[in-house]
Amino acid sequence: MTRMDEVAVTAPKHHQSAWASARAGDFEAFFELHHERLFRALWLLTRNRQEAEEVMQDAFLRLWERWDRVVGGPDPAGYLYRTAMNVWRSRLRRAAVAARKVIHHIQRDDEIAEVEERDAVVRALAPLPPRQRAAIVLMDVLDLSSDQAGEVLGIKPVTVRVHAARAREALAHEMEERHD
Amino acid sequence: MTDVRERLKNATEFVTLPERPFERLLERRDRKRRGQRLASAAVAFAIAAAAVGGGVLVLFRLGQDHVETGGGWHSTKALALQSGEYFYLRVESSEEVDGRIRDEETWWGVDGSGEVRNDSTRQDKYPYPPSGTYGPGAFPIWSDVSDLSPDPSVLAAQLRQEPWNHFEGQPEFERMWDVASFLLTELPTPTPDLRAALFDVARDIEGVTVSENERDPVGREAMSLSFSDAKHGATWRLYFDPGTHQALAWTFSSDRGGESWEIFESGIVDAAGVKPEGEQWLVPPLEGAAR
Repeated sequence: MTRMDEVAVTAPKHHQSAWASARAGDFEAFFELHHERLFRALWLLTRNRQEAEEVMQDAFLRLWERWDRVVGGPDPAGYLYRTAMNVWRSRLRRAAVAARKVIHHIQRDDEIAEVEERDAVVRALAPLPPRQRAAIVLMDVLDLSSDQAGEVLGIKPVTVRVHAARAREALAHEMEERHD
Repeated sequence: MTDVRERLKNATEFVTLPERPFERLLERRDRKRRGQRLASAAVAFAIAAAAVGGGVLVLFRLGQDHVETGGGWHSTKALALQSGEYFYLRVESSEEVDGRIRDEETWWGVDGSGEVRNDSTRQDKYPYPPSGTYGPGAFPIWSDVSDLSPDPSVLAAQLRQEPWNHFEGQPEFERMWDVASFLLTELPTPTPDLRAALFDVARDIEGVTVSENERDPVGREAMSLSFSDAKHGATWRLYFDPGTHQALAWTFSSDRGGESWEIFESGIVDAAGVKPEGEQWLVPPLEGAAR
């Protein structure tokens, strides 16, 4: 008959392994490291500060609920971005349904309105299809590779490149039109 | 094109960052849990009404008797939790994750009452489940599983849908493994019949290896389901009792070295705060484990 305290004594010295130190990573530190960058990118995607913060918080909360798995996995930041994109898409779907029922519609906020007034590129981002917007924000704002962005969006890297290229073309065209 | 990239990046500098973002995250987490507790109370009320009205739970139990596979632990308890019974779960982990070593005992009844003894570390950061004794509908839950079916085929379909299917970017088999292992290892509220159904669901996930005649990390007779990420050299393994299909342990190992585990003891008792005895156990208790 062996008791739990004996198990603990005979357990391997996990903390000596590199894996263990990574796994024991601190969620708060992870949050501090990633939240600002994610928030800025989400702001461009959602065009609304409040919406960006909601998506960011939901993504972090979902990650936190399963932090021991996420931090033990290969790419916690990738997991975060993937979750954020899923939350955003899910909220977009809900907003679309709500808009049809004339209950609620996400408005752009004053800060993005100011930037859009000034910058045609940002203004041209708004009407792009969500996939194109996501692709260009992931690749050009968050600097992910097409492989990484593909994992985040759940599509093939080549498809991400196509979406991003189309988005860039649209934005470049807008710049030429406006000569700015 | 570089100009497009720079202008987009520059644009993001204009947004005002949220104030106290981590504190606001904590507040949001608390609001979410309060909402789930309210949902739990509503479910508890519905279950109580059903039990009074027509013996629904009795019928349910008849259809969900415990699993017999010819080996493993024998329990006289049916896996469907009845009104007045409590599911006992003890979880201990071998090492800290984010500063926390789990050491929890929970008793949960279908009316949402129960008890929690949480001796885990870092409760300042991981306060759930908070220790205490809870009346009907007041047990602190943080993921409502009351709508999940103990029928494996129905359950598998449910887990492919929102709100369980969070990670659309992952291949489906990874998502299914993730959510099944989450429900089995993180939550005290899935009932034993639901846990047995989760075993069935997990066993059928693409890429999962089933191994018979194994021992869990503390030497209990077991079968295991393992899931490997060859690309990153990581393996997750869930050990189950061969008789009741209840989880015994959960391990994670890496090619980079190290293995961590969590160990489970579970049973069904007639009162919160009381440990199972004899055949109330759904898995071999640790005192009886041969190592």
